[in-house]
Amino acid sequence: MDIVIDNLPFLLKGAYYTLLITVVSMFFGLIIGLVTAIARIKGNRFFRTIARVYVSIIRGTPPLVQIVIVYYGLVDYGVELDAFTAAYIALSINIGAYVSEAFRGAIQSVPAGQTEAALATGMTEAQAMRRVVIPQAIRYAIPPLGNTFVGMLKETSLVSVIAVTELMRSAQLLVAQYYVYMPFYLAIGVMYWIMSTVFTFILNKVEKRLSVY
Amino acid sequence: MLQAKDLSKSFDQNEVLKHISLTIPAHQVVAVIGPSGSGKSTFLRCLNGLETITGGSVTVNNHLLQATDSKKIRQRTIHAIRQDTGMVFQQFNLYPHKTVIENVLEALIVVKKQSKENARVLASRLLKRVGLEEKEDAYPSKLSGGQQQRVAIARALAMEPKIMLFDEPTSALDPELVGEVLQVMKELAEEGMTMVIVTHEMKFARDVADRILFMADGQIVEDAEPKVFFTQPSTERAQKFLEKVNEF
Repeated sequence: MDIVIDNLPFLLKGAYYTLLITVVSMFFGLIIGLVTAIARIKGNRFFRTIARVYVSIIRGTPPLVQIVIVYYGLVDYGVELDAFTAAYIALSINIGAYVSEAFRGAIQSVPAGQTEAALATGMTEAQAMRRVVIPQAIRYAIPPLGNTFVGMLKETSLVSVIAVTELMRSAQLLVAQYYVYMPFYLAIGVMYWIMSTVFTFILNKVEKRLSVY
Repeated sequence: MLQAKDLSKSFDQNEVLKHISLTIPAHQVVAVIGPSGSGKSTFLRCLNGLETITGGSVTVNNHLLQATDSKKIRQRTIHAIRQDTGMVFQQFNLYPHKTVIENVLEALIVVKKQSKENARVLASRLLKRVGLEEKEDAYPSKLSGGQQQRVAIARALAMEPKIMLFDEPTSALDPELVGEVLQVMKELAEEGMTMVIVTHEMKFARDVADRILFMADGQIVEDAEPKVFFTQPSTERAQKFLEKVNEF
């Protein structure tokens, strides 16, 4: 136990990077996801197909494979990314596909009458989407997005394979130094759990906030 | 004010509207009645482009919408038509995430680009007119169906339409709430608004409308003054329909 406490600053730094990667990837993932969802619902055949293929590929391949393709694979084509950038890119693209599914479901659960009412008052399709449909869809999307978010938090542990010193790799480094496993792995397990719980708590609050009507 | 020429609408192979032609002058109040599935609502929705017409044309306030126009031109015409028409739906379709006054404000700000202050003044006045000045800051879910529908009318009026389209505005209401909505509509009619009302309220149609369109199988079967239509319908379809309606 002492050994963990002595190295707590190092682990906390790892936790910080885990959080940072999660938040940054989620941020870009939300943008990618929203664009993809709209492309799938409102786009012409070309954009619909691209969006569908993207979601299909990402959901059909392991995130670990996506990460190594971005970090190691692209080197063959002269694209050398530093580990953090590769992590951000791979995870944003990954999460974007899942977020788009959450948004798509949410947008489709807003009744058609809402769009019709907005159009009837003279709004364009885009205005109706932006002012009427999406604000309502966001609320429907929060529970599935929350799951995705917590999933992302845990998935960041995969980028330890490309030597990003987030929480998982911090523990691995300490294990290599002290030759004991359990205390460190147990400690990061607890830290992941605390972070997930806090996220879930915050999201529940946000959901409540949004359900004033 | 409003003209349909040879207006047709098909869903795949199913022809829902068959070559409808009619003219509605300004300030006329038209009630469209008929059995369900006769195409009344579809007809109404074709007038402001919520349904795409598949044949003929619609003219609303000099904006000519033709089935043969390119998609781009159609979109532009429909946009222009919608600026001049207000629509009230059976299910109200108020924006649940916005308060009553925000529902009315929304298009003024987004479409008409009015300042928030000006829009608010107009919205308040309209809510007062439909008797809901005290509900401005309530969310629609806190309102009765009748109140919601009155807000929907105020929302449509905010755009200062030349024509109001009503799609069975009282069909989703509890019986005791129908009256307050019809009262607002009656006042609108008295002020000279051009109105097309799809309705099952026969008494209202008889008392308020200037003209009855009886639809069946996607066609206008009778087009008459209420007095004539309700006392001496000329077709068998209309006679049977009225018999059924009057059974209760």
